[in-house]
Amino acid sequence: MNSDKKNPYLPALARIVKITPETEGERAIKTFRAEIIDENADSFNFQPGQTIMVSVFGKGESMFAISTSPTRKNIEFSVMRVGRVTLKLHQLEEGSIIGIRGPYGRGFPVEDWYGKNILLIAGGIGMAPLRSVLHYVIDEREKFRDVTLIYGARTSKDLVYRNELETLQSDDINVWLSIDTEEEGWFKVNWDKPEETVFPPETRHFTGFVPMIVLAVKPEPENTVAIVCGPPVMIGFTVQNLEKLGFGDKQIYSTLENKMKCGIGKCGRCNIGSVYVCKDGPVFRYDEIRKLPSDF
Amino acid sequence: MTSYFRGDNLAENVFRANRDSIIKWLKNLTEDYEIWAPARERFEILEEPEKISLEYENTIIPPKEIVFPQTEKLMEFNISNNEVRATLPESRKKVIFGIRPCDARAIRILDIVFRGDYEDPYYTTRKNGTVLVVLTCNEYCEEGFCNATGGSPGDSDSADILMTKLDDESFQIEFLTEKGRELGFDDFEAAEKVEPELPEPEYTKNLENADGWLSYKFVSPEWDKFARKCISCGICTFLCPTCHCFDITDTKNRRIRTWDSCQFSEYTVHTSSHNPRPEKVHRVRNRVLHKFLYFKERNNELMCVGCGRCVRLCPEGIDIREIVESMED
Repeated sequence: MNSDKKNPYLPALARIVKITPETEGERAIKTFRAEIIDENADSFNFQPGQTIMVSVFGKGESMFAISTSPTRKNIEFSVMRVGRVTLKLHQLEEGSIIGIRGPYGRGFPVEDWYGKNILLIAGGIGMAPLRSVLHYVIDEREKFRDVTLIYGARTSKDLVYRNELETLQSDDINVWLSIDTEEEGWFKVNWDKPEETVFPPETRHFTGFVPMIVLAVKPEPENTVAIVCGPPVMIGFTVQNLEKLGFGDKQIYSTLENKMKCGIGKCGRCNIGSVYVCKDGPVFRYDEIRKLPSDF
Repeated sequence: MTSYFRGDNLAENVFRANRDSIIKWLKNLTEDYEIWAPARERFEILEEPEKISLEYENTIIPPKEIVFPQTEKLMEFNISNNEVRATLPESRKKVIFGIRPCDARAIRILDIVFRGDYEDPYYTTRKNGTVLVVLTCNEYCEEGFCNATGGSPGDSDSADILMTKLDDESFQIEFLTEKGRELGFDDFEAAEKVEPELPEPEYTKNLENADGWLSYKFVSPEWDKFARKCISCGICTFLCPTCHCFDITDTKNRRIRTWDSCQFSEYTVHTSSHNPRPEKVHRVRNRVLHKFLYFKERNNELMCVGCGRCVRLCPEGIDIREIVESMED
C-alpha cells in the first residue's frame, strides 16, 4: 500500500467502477470511471483540464486528460487503444485495480471565464479534455452566458460521448456535431464557401471538417473564449478561421500533449523549449503557444 | 560517532596535510561514512585508503551515479494482492572524495532538478548528508572548459571541503561548510590560507551568456552542419554530469527508472507515432539549447559545467563549444 505520501512516483490504488465503450474498431475508445480506494492517499482535488498518470501495474503508466469536471465528484478518463498500456486497460473489467497519481499540470482557468460566452471546439479524442470544461459549464450553467459546442470526428461512429452530447440541447447548450465523410442525415456544408452555408432549421448534424463548421456557425468573438482541442492540423486551421471571425490569441485556449514519464518536470521528454507540458501545461493560451519554438 | 575535530573553533578552517595524514583521515572516516573515490573509469567505494589517487584525470563516468544511479528500482508490486510498495534506497552518510569542481557543481544542478516542487525521495535519500570533498585541478583536463561556464579549476562554490595540492609534499584543506567541518581531523595542522596558482585555460571564450544569442537561433542552418555528423549514440548525454533525463518502465513485479537520452528518437515519440523531434538535427539542437538556454530561462543557471566529457568522448568529434560559438552573430 501507499505508505509514503510524499513519494510523487507512488500511485494511489484505484478501482475501475464503470467502463463505457465509446467507439469501436482498431483504435477503439473506452471511458473509465475510477474510485481511489487507497486509504493512505491524499484527497483527490483537480481542475478541469488537468491530467492523471494511470498505472497498469506490470505494464506501465500513461498520462490521460481527466474527462470530467470536479463538480461531478468522480474521476473519468477516456482511452484510445493504441499502445501497450492502453491495450491492457481495454482488457480490464469493472472492479479491476489500477494506480492513479496526480492530478498534474495547469488546467483551464474556468473561473476567469464567468460571465463569458463559451465556445468549445473539438476533434476526435480531443473531446476528452474539453468534456471537463463542458461538465463544469453544465454544472455551473448560470455562471456562463451562451455555450456552444462544435465537435467533429471522421464518421458518426467515431464521435466520443455521442449519446451524452445529443441531449445537451436541454442544458441550454448549442451543439453542432460534424463528420468528415458524407452519411445519410448529415447535412453537407458549403464545401467551397463554408461561411455561405444555409442551414436547414433544427439541423445539428453536418458533414464537413471542424474548421469549416466554425466558419459556417460564425460564433461571435465579443466576450467569448474559444477552447480548441484535437489533432494539430485541426487546431491550426480552426485557429486561422477563428481569427477570420475576429477572435484574438488571448481569447483562444488549447491543450498540448507530449510523451511523458514522470509528470513532474524531471524526466525531461515533454519539453517544448523551456516549457514542460506536464507541469506548465497541458492548457495554454494561444498567445503562449505562439511564443513556443516549433518543437511539437 | 567519532569526533575528528579538535573543537568548535570554526575560525580554524584552513589546514595543511600530506598524503599520509590524508590516508589516516580516510581510514578514520570509513568508520562512519561510505567513501566514494575515483577508481579507474568511475567513482567506487573506497576499500583501501592507501591506494587513494590524489592526482587523477577526471573519470569517464561522472560521479552523479552515486546520487542518481543508471538503473534503480522505484517500487515493487504484487498485483494479485493489490500491494504496491516504494523501494527507497538505504540512507547512508557518504563522502564523495576527490570529486572535481565541475562534477561537484553538476550535483548542485541535479539538486535543482530533483528537489523543487516535487521532491524526488530516491534522489534526496541518496544525496542528503553527502559530503563533497572537492579536489582542485592543478591542470586543465583535455577539452575542459569549466572557466567558460562560470566555474574554475579551483572552484569551491559547491564544495563542503576543498582540497588543493600545493606541492609534492602538501595539500591545503579548507573546511567550507558545517557539513564539511564535521569531518575535521586532528592530525591536520592549522595553516594560513594560500591562494594556489591555478592553471591557465586553453579555451578562453566565455559561454555564460550564450543564452543571449541562442534565444533567437532556434532556426539556423548551423544546426544541420553539426547534427549531420551525429550518430545518435547518446554518449554525450549518458556521460554528462548534469543530464538527468530518465525513463520509467515496468517488469512484472517492479517499476524501474533508467537513464534515458534526448538523442534517441524513441525518447519523444508518441504512441500515435507522431514525433516532435524526429530528426537528429532537432535532438542535437534540443540538447545544446537545454544546456545553454532552456535551463537558464527556468533556473537562472547554465546546465553545462564545462567538464569536457561530451567533447572528449564523442566518437564523431562533435564539440558543443563550437556549436554554441557558431550561433553567435
